[in-house]
Amino acid sequence: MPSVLAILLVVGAGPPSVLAILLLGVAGAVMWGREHPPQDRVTERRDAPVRLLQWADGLLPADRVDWGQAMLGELDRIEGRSKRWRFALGCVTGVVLLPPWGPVGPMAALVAVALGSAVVFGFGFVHFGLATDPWNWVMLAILAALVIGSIVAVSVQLRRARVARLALVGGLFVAAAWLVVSGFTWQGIISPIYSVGAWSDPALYIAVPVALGVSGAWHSGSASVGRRAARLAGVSAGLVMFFISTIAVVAIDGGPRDPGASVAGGVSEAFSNVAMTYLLSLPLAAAAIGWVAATATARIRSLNLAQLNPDPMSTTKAAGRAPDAREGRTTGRTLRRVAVVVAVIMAVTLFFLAR
Amino acid sequence: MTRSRSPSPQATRVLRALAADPARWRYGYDLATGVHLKSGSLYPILIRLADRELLETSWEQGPPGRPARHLYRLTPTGREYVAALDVARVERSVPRRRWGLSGA
Repeated sequence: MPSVLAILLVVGAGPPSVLAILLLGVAGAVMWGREHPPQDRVTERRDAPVRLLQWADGLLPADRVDWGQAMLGELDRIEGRSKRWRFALGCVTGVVLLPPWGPVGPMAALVAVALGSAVVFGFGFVHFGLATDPWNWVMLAILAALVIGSIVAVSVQLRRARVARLALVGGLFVAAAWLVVSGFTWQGIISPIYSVGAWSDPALYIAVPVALGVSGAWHSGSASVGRRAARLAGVSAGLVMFFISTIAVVAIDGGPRDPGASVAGGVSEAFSNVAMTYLLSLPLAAAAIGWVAATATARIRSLNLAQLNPDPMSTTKAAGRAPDAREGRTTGRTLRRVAVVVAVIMAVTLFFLAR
Repeated sequence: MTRSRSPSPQATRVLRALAADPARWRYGYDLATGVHLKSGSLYPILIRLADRELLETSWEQGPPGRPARHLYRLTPTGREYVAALDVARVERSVPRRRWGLSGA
């Protein structure tokens, strides 16, 4: 029970950084929705199964892109909502599990990190007698799903070599930023959000994913590369930090706990906290921040190219998008929205830090 | 280099469905419903068969604004492969039947 309560506390009513992440995610979703209006439904279907499959097709390696188009072409001819959903979900599973699963070296390293986490967690589970509480088994199941999900997410993202190096190096920087904010102490690693002190700390959380999104989008000329780099960096950093945090939990018996709380309860709660923080919040935060940065960078780059070269075809090509007459207006709107999102986040963070 | 291990039961079902009318181009969804496979199983099988050059693919252009449709049929190599599978199955089943009779 304490595990579930801790999960709800961290995810729901939690500290400022989590709130800022949620706000950022919502703002990002709104921006994405406005930038991708539904197309003509008479000529081309754009329902949820199509969007899901389009997203999944983006995970295919470059030499399998045709197969993604094949799945979309087939989905287009299927009638009936449940049949369409079944077909799309089946295809997504196929796309995710289809080899290749990314370069051997980085994948082996991340799997080793995940296995290391499992060993330390297993030791803690037995050593502190967590098996007696049924809720701890629920926590174990959620945690296993998060770790396996992270590994699968990394493997599909690593298929695109263009992103892999930037994202993996970026992941180390993201992990380093969280370690710096934790103050390199076991307690700080278990509760990094509560370790936030100076203004430089939240800035560090934000700056690294921003740098990743910007550099990916700027060098490639495509916002999707920056977004993908930030996403992959977040997940890989999350796995690394989760490994370190499980050691921290075992090393200090879960850290300080409420008066009267048992050691097992404290350890269980600490395990839940670190799982939610590093396997969920960290990747989400990095992905959301990187998303905004990459989108804004691609727009700014497109605007710069438009000023240098008035030929609309070359500009839109460099920005990685189809020619669009509304490009200039959309760019202005996007930049304004990004500014609003940043301002809201700063205001929320200020409010909570001032309390 | 492609591996030449024997195909899975699901892949065998797909191969046999395609071999039933080898000249005909088949759609992915029709094939999936015909052999009772989910799309998540069918497409990886089709990809592997195409990689092994047992399957040829083609695109059928749809009406304007609609995505093209992918079509599949066996290559000559694929037909030979299915024929070899049938022969191997017969050879495996004959000794078993004999053994069953002598043991009875």
